[in-house]
Amino acid sequence: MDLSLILFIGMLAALGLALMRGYPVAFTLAGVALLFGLLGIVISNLTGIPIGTLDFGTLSLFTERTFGIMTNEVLLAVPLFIAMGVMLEKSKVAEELLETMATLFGSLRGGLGISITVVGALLAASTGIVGATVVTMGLISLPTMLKRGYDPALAAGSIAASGTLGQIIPPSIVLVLLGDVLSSSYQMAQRDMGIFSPDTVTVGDLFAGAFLPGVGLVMLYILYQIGMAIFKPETSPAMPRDKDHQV
Amino acid sequence: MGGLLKLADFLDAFNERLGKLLGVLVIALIIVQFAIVIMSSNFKAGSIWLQESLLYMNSLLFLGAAGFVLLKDQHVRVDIFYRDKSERVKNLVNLVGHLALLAPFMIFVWIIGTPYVATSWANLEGSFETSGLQIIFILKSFFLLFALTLSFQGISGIIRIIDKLKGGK
Repeated sequence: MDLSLILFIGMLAALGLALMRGYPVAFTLAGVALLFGLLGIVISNLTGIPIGTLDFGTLSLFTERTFGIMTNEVLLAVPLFIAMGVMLEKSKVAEELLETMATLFGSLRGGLGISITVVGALLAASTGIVGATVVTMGLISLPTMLKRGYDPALAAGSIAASGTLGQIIPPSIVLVLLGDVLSSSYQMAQRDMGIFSPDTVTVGDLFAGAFLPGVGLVMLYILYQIGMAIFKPETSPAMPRDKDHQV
Repeated sequence: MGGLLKLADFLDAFNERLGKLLGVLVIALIIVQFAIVIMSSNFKAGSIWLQESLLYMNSLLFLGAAGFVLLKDQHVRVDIFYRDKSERVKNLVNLVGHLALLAPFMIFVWIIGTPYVATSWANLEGSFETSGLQIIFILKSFFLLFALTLSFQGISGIIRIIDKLKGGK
């Protein structure tokens, strides 16, 4: 078998093993890649067999790549989005929103589950990083839902699903990060095809593209919850309209 | 071990202070970005150096705070198995990781980063834009700040873990 292939498989195996051990992902990626890169250089120097294209010159481009990230204006959105998410979390706006929604819809069958989805979607549409916030918030309402006889699978599913909406509904931090990678690989692909005035993919394009699927997902979640409330009423009971039973 | 623990205390305190200080930059970043948007959309005014200062703040933030994040153990982990392990196993994972993964990477960053930053300082490299901030060499120095804070925190982490493992915990 080809030596570079063995190294490649070895690197993947080592990476998977190290990641599963639980060491921070950033340093695992950096360390494993670096060690196997050096190993490849050492082996090819010892045996005289050229392995791949990696050499010290390529490794030293690391500084240029880092500088490229430092001067990337698109990535400025990341700290700003995170600040917004933290502000929402600390100011407890999210919790209050959920409480109000629950008071409004809680007396309908399945209303509490739907209000969690709606709040998740609203928060996802206003910040980029809501995963953890929405899930913690949903967890506050989980005991109430279970006590009122919600099906645990449906209650937990609603919370978990609404927590992931932040990734797909724009503006999302994942799309910002992806946009940077995608636009450079798209341009490279076009150059390889011989197109020398390449089109670009902007983060705005990605946001526009993700909008319909995101909204579609929310609609499907809500439809499912309504369906469950209609056809399997025992899984999602109504909350009594009573001040004492607010979330 | 006592002297080493004092060193670890010092390194932790350094990153703690630096991290808290850098937190202020987030607010500054928000205010400056807001000001730029207001200026350009309402008054048709723009300033390249203000725009570039955002990049400086952002870079300083994510590079300089790397050590602080490690101190607070907030770097993302795949914690499916890690979470349920005993304190001892967690310490071992971190020790091996620090020594086998973080240390080579830090050495690598120091080796290739130092000449890179030194060249930039020697030329007092300026911005690509004529009216931009003419201090790119400062921006590039943040690269070594990153290496410094992360190395500090790695060393401090290794000292503390060895101390805990020796203490029979």
